[in-house]
Amino acid sequence: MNEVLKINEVTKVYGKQTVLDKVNLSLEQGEIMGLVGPNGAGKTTLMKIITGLIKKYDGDVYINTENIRSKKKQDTKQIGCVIETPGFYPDLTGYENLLFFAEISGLKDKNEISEIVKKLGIESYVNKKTKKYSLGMKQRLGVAQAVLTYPPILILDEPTNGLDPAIVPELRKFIKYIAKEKQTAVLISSHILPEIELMCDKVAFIQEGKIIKIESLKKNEKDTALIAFVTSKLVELKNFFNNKKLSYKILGEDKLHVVINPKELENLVLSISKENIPIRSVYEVKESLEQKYLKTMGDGKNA
Amino acid sequence: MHKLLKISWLNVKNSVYSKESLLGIIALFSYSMLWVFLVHPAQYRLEGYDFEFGRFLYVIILYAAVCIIRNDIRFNTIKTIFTGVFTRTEIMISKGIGLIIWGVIFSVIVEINNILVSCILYKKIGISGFLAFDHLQLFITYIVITFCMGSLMVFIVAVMFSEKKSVLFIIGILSMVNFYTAAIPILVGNRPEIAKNFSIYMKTPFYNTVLLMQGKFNIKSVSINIAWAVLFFILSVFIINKREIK
Repeated sequence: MNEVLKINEVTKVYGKQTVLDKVNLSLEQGEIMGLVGPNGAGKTTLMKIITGLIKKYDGDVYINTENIRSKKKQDTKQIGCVIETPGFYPDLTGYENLLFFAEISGLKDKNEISEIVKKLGIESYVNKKTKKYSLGMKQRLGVAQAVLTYPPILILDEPTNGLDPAIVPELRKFIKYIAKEKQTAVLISSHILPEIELMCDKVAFIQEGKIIKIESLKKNEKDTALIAFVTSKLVELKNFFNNKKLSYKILGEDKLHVVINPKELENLVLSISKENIPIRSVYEVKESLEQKYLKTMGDGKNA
Repeated sequence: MHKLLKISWLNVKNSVYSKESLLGIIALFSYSMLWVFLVHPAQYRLEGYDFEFGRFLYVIILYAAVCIIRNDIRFNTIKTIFTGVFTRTEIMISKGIGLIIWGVIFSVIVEINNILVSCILYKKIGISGFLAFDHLQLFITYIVITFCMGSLMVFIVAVMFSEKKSVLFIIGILSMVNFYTAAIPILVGNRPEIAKNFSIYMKTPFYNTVLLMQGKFNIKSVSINIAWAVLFFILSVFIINKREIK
């Protein structure tokens, strides 16, 4: 896959406060990356730098290998974005707003608007004046505006904020659709971690302006997995792992956890059975994004 | 350029469709009708009514110019606009074109008022009075005034870059300056020897705007106002280009 967005050592300082500290990130075509972190971690500032709303910063942002500082605006219009609460002209209808932003985004075929409206399921209210919209309605219209030209990069800052829980899966489905079908690279920030877990391929943890960790959420791309073994002969199993030089953690009288490459699990279980060590059960211990978040951010605080 | 014109037109259209705009036009014509039906000074011809209408319209011109950028800050559309295909300079040029479009709209509104006044006061003014009026000068006057004072307001909003209502206070001050200094061009016209006392003030857009609104059309005032407009506008573009959109 092609790398469409590269953030290289980006630092942003306001007065004495470092809001972003040597941030490095990259995003590939069709990839959805979640950006998670506490309030004030620098998520929105990073998004504003990528979209050109903030111009003064150290480091470089590359879109399709070209630095955004040196590119012409028409060439850099490869980003659709919703930063914070999406804004619309209140005395115009949703559709009229989209028509206006279509001009700003350089959309040539206006029929695309109806197609996007349909895909996002906002036909029922798109002809109403936006001053009558709820925050959730505005969020969906904001996403429609951001994807008008199906840009190669989509930046969404808290897109599920204020959305009816019943609507969230629809939005998730749409974001996944544009990533897969239109090969749009999506950078999305949200406080709703289960949503990020369901939507994203990767997640970047940001704290105090620093990217602490980037982790893949794709099952088949995981290098390691935490596997639990339950056995009546724990001592023999311990010795077996010692011989294999695998680190483990004992949990109770009959259970231990071991971190291995999931591809090696089958051979490992076979070897254990050859040693005549009875295994009652073997399962993968899944850590939710929320648990990972708490663990990572905790580590960040201690660092 | 065609795209910029379209954006400018859409921008003005968005403001025209707003509730404030409708209320402004209603207030404007109500004020004018007060002069026609209640005050109607004996010495007033069409020029007099046109000037009174223009004094109120001046406030609306300032407000419309403020809205050209302030609405984008207020409705949070500024982020979408500044992340589109156009550079900030191009967006600002479209706002400048928007001011000129507003100027055309305002001159049409003034003409509608002139027709109304001429028809209502048909014995005193009538169609002949309306036709005798210099419409081209009126057209140029309102475009120049809107562009000049509008650029000043755009400059003020670019500096403040806030949706706070304090900008409305500035509109109030500028309107009062316009209202209370209306006598100066008349004084200077009647007693040219005192012109040297106002030599600096006579180079400001405020003096020349009043002069043009009073129907004392002259190329010097038009040129001074255009020069100020260009200066304010270039400064606004520079400031907006340097701004961080928070």
